[in-house]
Amino acid sequence: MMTSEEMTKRVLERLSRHRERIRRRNELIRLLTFGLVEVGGADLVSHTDCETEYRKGKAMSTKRSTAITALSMAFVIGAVITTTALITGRNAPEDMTDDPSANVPEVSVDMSENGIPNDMNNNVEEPADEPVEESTEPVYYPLELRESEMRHYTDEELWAIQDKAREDYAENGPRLIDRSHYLKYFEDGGDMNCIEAKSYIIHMMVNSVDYFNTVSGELTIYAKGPTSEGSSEYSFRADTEAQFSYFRREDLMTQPDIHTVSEYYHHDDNDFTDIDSEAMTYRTNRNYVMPDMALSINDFLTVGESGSTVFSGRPDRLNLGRLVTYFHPQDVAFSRLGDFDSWTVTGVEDYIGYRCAVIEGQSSVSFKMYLDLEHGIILKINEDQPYLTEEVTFTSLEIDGEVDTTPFDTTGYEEIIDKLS
Amino acid sequence: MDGPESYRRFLDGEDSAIGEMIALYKDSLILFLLGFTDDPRTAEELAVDTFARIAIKRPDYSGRSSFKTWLFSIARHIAADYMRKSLRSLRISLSDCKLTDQTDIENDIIQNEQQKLLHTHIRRLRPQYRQVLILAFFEGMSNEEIAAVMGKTCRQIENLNYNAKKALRKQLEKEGLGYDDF
Repeated sequence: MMTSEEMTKRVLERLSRHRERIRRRNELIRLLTFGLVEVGGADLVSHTDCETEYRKGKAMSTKRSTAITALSMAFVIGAVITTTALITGRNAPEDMTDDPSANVPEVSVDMSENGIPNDMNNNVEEPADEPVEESTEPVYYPLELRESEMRHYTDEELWAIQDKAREDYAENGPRLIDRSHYLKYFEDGGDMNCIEAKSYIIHMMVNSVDYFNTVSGELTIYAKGPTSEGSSEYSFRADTEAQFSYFRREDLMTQPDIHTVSEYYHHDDNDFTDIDSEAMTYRTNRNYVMPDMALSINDFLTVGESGSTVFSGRPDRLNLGRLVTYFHPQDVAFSRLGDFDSWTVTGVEDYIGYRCAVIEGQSSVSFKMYLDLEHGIILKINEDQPYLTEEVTFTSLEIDGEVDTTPFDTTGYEEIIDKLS
Repeated sequence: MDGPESYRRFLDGEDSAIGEMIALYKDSLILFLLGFTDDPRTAEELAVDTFARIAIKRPDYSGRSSFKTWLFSIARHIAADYMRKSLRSLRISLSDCKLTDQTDIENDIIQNEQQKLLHTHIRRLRPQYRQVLILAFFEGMSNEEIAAVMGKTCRQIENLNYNAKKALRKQLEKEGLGYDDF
């Protein structure tokens, strides 16, 4: 195994060669600029070719043309530098002016004698000018169309699919699609009820959380039943990258008369803190979340061994309690929109600043919803059941804005520890 | 002697300070790079490339992450670049010019017998699992640090970690070993 000293020697040799090349290049430019080298001279050819061979391992037969090309380029660069220096009155860079007495023949390099080790160094190219960064551009997948028939799996098959989807997500991240194409399609009045358009809607609903990182705002849930009526006012903020969420819920029941306020924090990986601000107590629970999956839209709802339907949902990444139903409406996508014949997109409208598909349909209940086409969030939904009317409305929503992720400050609060937990 | 201080002195013109950085981080860097390649000799050469890149390009170290995280993330780019190039061209395999036995390098870096055994099993996993487990088990990095090194989100690292441990557990159980023994 290479010792630290050997490795240091190798690194310093590489550094030294790099500096030598810079020095020779600058010297060449300086000499060319002042016309001290004869174009096509044998010494210059020798010098430039060695450089070329070192860098690219090319055969010496390309000597002359390479030298002339390099010379021409160097001459142009030198002329530009000189002109710039004259115009600006600045001196040439320091490393261009060192060792002015050096001449080109003396710095010619003999590849066999300059100490380049006969090992991997000969095979590994010098590092590129900049470290090669992996592309940060998202990789888009094609939109997957929803199949008309549900897939049938045995338990073993389904587990294998889920395992693979988890591995896929961990290694490649979410299955993003290029939304711009579909947004334009809806905007341009394309057939909003074709299979492709409806598959886009399902894709966005089951994968909404892949298309935003932070949310903050307010939402109201109003419900009226035969014996009760009331509303819940939520204010919330969440940052999925920082794994932080907070929401405050104020329940106002008019029948019967109940008024409660509760707050929840989620941070520190999986800790979920439930706060009772009146009693000044809090309780921390472990909230284990399964790893996320990159699942086909046709594998969310499948038929299992016993013939019953099996729902393979993605984990709750937002930790906003009940609000996850609207931010990540994967269950609604199949409970309300699973049957493509039971709903229609009736138009595209703006709602609280977001472009929404207006969807109306009839499953076990009749419903009308406004689905944010860019993020897959249900911004408004009305559901009418025989004995219950429910309306969920975002009154404000900011997506991907700044979110305060300050953790819950326990000062002054008493922790309640559940003995059984 | 610490990494940032040695690097600062190197930037100030003290070339030999790079040797201190190498002495400090060489072993752990090679171990990390073994997550990319099966060949310890290649891992060594990639470590040389990493330090040479730093010496030549003199990138800024802002101090926002630990020095090791910063160093490993540079190494990851170099390893990824190497892997891409080696796929594109059929370069001479370094395994053809082995100077040392593969296990010698492992033995030199990992002293603890139990860790050696663990590393043997980790090396049988797929590259990304290897990388995340090496950083977690041998370097003691947090998910945030691993995410910075591997250029992924914390959520992806959590998932990767989960799957990697699951695969390792399966691997160990196949050999009649208990995951909890480690």
